[in-house]
Amino acid sequence: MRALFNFTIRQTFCQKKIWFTLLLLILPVGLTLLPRILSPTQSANKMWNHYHIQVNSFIFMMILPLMCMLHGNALIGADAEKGTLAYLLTRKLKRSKVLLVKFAAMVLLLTIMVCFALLIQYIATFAGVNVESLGKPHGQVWQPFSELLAYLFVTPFAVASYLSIFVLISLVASRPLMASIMYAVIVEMFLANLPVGIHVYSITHQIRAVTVKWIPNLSSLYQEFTEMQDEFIVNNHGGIGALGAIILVSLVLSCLLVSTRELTVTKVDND
Amino acid sequence: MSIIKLDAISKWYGEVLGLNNLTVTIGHGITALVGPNGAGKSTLMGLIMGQIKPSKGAIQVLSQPPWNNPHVLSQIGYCPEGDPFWMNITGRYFVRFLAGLSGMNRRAANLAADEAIERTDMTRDMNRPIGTYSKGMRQRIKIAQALVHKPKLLVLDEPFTGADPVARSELATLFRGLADQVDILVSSHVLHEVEGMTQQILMIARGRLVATGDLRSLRRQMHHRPHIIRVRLDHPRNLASALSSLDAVSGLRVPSPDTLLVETTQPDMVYDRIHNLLIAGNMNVREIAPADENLEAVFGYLTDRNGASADSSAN
Repeated sequence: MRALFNFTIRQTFCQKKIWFTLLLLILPVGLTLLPRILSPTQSANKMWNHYHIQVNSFIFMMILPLMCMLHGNALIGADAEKGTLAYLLTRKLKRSKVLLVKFAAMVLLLTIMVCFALLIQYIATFAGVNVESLGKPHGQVWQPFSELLAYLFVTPFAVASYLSIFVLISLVASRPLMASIMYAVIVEMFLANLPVGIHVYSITHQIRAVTVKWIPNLSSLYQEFTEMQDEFIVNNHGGIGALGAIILVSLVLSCLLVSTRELTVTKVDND
Repeated sequence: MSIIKLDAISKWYGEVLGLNNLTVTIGHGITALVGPNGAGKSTLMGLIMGQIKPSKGAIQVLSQPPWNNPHVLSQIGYCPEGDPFWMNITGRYFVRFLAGLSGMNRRAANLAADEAIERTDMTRDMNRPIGTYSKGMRQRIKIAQALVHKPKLLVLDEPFTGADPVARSELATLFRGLADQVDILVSSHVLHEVEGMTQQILMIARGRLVATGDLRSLRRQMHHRPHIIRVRLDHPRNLASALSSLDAVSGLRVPSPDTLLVETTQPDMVYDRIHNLLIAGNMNVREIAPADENLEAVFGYLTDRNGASADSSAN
């Protein structure tokens, strides 16, 4: 199992897309440094908003789903397409174990990458700045480090839930990438932002639910969503429990599928 | 005692039939699975390796169904067809990694990998990335990974593909050497590749088992096959009318204005007769050659014959 875990990480680092996703992850840093260079004096509210928009809107809502889509689709699919899955499925491992070990390795790797991006985003925003001198953002005391910890805490859950959904889609759909894009657009971009109850079925909303609980004033970023934020906070809906449920259900279904479905691409030419 | 047992196995891929009601038992030693491209060999290999499921029927490998069965799969060494590789890793890492997946600890995996690599004569190149290997080297490193966990059964899907004649001969020698310790099922679309390795042959074509047994009995079955002789000359109908009285000739066709196809079960006699007629008749002959000596034609004959006998027994 350890051999497969290490191998999955090693092979992921050999793919071009991991460097592409890493570049995407540090893109918000550029977007943070640029205004700091252009206008060194900022207001407390502006700086606070800018930081949380970069983290929430860019990293958690856009880049994270995109990287999970790319790597989730390839988790089993890339080896099935190359034919190398045959080596993994004809050894002393159950099919579901192969999936789970690869999944765990990918969650670890992507979590480290996102945490790294969050750290450099934090450094790029707050390094060399005496935030206290800027005043109180939205009337609250500055808590940048505890806010960073909240983001770091939610990251593994966010990675695992997105990744598990995209792995499941790759096992169900005949055109996984197309199906994943459709899922991301319809569920995570459209339904997640509807001010009606259906948004609770999106991962985006659940991540937002966790961070809103931990970071005071974060809901001010989503003025138009205040009603729905209040709704799930009051009803105690969503959050880590919901993300955990998404991960669990997706993984159970994925394990069931890999254990019962043929995964290798078989050449059929005798008609 | 059988190591592989297939009972009325059928496999459909949508509308396409991959295997058709195949019942066969494979015993110890080296067994060759021979058939033309698209015969269903890889489907059969996939079923044996638990990679695909039968649409109908039952399969047992080492007395257990292979699908999602690590206990059985850990006793089989599999060498898949084609070039399925992680090209960036070295041959040694590849074999060592798969040894690790077979349940060995790091030290045992290293030792087993080095031993398997040495057996396949890849020690000198083991630290190079697989992407830089020749076709023959890739075949050998695939065989090394199949041997690394000391399996009871080796399943080799088209292991000779891409190897040059020298490499083929070396591989055949390697397999013969391994046969003392491990049972081997090897597939090929070229009969003579496996002739020197084993006498146990399974011939499949169009998803059906068309012949089974030792090479001698297969040759005997093929001996009764009607041969087709192609004669290219200026006036084929003249020669056709001269041959029509011969009992040994079972059919005559003129597919083009300069070609005559003669069907016979006694080709030697017909060749003699044609020569005599040509000399006596002063005909302008450009070619006399067998038209169906390739393996596809042999498979075609055996398939049609078995199909006809199956149909007649069904009636």
